[in-house]
Amino acid sequence: MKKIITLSFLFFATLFAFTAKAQVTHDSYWSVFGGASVPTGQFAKSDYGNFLDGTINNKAGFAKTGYTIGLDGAWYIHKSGWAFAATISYQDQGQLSAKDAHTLAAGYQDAFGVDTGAASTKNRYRNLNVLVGPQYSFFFSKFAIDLRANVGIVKSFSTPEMDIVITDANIPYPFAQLSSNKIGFAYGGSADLRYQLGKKLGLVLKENFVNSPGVAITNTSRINNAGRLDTKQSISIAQTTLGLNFGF
Amino acid sequence: MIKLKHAVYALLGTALFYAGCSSKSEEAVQPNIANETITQASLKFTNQANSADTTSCTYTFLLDNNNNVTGVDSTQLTLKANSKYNCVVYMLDQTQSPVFVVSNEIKQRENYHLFFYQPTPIISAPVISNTSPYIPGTAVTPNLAPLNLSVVRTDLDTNNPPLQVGLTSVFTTGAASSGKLRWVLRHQPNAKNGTYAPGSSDLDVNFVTVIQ
Repeated sequence: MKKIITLSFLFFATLFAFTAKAQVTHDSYWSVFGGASVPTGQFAKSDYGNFLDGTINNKAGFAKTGYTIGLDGAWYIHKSGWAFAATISYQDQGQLSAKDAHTLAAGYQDAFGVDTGAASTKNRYRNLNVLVGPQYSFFFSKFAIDLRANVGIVKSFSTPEMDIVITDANIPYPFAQLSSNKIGFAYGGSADLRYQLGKKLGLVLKENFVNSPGVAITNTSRINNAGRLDTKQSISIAQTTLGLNFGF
Repeated sequence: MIKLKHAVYALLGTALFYAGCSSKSEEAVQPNIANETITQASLKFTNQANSADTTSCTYTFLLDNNNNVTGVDSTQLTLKANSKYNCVVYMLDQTQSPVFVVSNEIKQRENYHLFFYQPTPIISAPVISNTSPYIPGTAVTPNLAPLNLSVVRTDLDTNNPPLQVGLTSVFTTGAASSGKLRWVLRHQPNAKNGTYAPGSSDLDVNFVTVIQ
């Protein structure tokens, strides 16, 4: 850890030394970024709840901390602080763990009052966000702080599939929550700090929040209204990214 | 522009690399646990014409100190002729302390439980539908005097569309007669459709029944 901190310090000190005269401008820019994508709210939860006290959590997403990579850009309007901004990013929020599968198996077993519950899961949360919105920038010599509001879509490539078999009196009752590749509405906001390294080159550290009411989920062979039933998986993530921005 | 292209290629390459990473599957089986235990099951009746006129019948599983069934005890059901009775189910698990009211849990789990009430003897096969409380395949005995009793379930669960449950029902008696009432609780996890066939029986008992 000490080595990483030392190397990071040396890297940034070198960059700053080479770019001491650079100033951030009202130039439009695009950037490439990557970083951590952390699920929040129900999306991050991994509980089942209790059937008898009515606390079954249909929306627990079992999502994990993952990564994001993407492209970003802002086009300033008449050299003002206002810009039109757009982001396209890919996220991976992981998959259910063995512990999660046990949670599901136990939850469905309890909810249907059966002898055994079994759960198998596959596929990951993988999606693409396409977001646009207004941005306002505050310029301070070599720094700029950008605040942005976003709306757009989340395109799911896959969500975890959950195959459940509850068994009672040696009779199996299988059903499933399928992987989704649907599109949902998304919105959010971001704040970033840009540091100008050269005339057209800069570093950008961004905190980005994205929420989506969800992508539609298909369930098969669900006959009775009991147990967890997720028909729309809400998505909420907080992303911390580091990128390079290029002026144009 | 060349820089942009290179950056985009690098980004897409990275995305494809990660997207191509194998996604392992996870499996889990939850260990066996016992279903709810029913040690005593009762039907409680109230005459619609006279709320002071009540009766009941009770089926009791006799247990040893290790909660193994050592015998059963069943009381007789006696109803007045040409009457209508409101019927309520009451079930207990006396192995728990305090005694657990199983019928309350059945209410909570009503979306996959269904009660059936079958009077015998019958002289013709009953009409079977997803609202019928009668048991398909019940032997028809035209040569025996039938038990003049009909049953209609009166409660609904929260399935969509709602299905009957049978925790409450109305018993209608005819002329004086005698026979048996077969009482079955079907457990139909994610399979309840109003019919008898899916699932297994949590309870299957008979009461000697007299209509007088």
